[in-house]
Amino acid sequence: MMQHLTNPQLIDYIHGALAPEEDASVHAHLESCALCREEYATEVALTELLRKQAALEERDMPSTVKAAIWQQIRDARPSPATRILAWLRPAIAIPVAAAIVLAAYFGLHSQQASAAPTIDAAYLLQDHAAMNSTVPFGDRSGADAAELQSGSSGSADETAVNVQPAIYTADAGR
Amino acid sequence: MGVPRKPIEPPTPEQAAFLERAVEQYGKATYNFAYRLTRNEADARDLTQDAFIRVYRAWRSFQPGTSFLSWIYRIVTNLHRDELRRSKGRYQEEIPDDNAPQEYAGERPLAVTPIEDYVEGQLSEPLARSLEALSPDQRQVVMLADIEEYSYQEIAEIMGCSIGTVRSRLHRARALLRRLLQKQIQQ
Repeated sequence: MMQHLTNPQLIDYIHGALAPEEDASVHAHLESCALCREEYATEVALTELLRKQAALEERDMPSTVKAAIWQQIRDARPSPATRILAWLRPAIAIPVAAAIVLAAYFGLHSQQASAAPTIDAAYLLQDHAAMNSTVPFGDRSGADAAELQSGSSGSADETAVNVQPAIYTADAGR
Repeated sequence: MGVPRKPIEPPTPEQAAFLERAVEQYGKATYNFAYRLTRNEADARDLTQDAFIRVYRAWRSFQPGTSFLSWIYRIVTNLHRDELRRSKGRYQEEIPDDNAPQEYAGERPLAVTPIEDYVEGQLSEPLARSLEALSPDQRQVVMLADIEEYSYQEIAEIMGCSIGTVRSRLHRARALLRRLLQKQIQQ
């Protein structure tokens, strides 16, 4: 008569955790041994009881848990390290680096060529204003042009001046 | 649970969406897992909350295609263990189970067991009390093996121990559970 199965063997068998050969021999033994079958049935019954118990105890997650999770996240503030890292993002870091390089280059260049002839600053401003005035939503488009074209800040053309506040109001209202 | 919390960063849209979906799909399972582990609603609430905050923080380390549930169960397990360690006395490291003497040693612990004879419901209270009497590790291995139906390998990963430990822990937990249940029924 073959030795009876142990409970650990039965438990591993129920959980499909035996090596194939042992699984097969346990299976064969259960076929032929009523005593072990009875013990096997008890172990299976325990598993079933546990599952029924779990189903009985199952509950929904209280809504307060979800609310508390989101509250904790809403209260989150970026740490100093993150704020510093934010400045290192490519979108910010690359233009900043480029500006520094350009400033260094032109700073150096202007020192070396300080005696070179320069274009009149007023001409550049007027040119810039004229270009901007063709861009309807450009930054300070009409007003700059009007201001510069009239030669002084006080007596600007009525229509050009009135366009600006309307645009700013629309922006502020968004 | 009085766990000191590290500062949390505000969410990116992807992170917020990830968390929203995780809570929606796995909140209930996680809460029930935490409840079965702690046998206590207040602790289960705290544990669930802390677990999802950890998911939120570590969301990028989740690998798509792997089981989210296993991941969050592991998180809950670790948080629970940390919490028990903090509240000293409630948790003691078990003797390495692999070296522990087997309860059965090849013999039957009970000649006759009434488990099968009881109908559903009658055993609910005794079983609940018996489960409470198990150690947290024993309770957890039973939950994962018998209720969640994880393999020993998966349980070892969730609990952070060897398969041998899972095996012997489960054997001992079930043997103890049967004895406790028997005692409860006879009372």
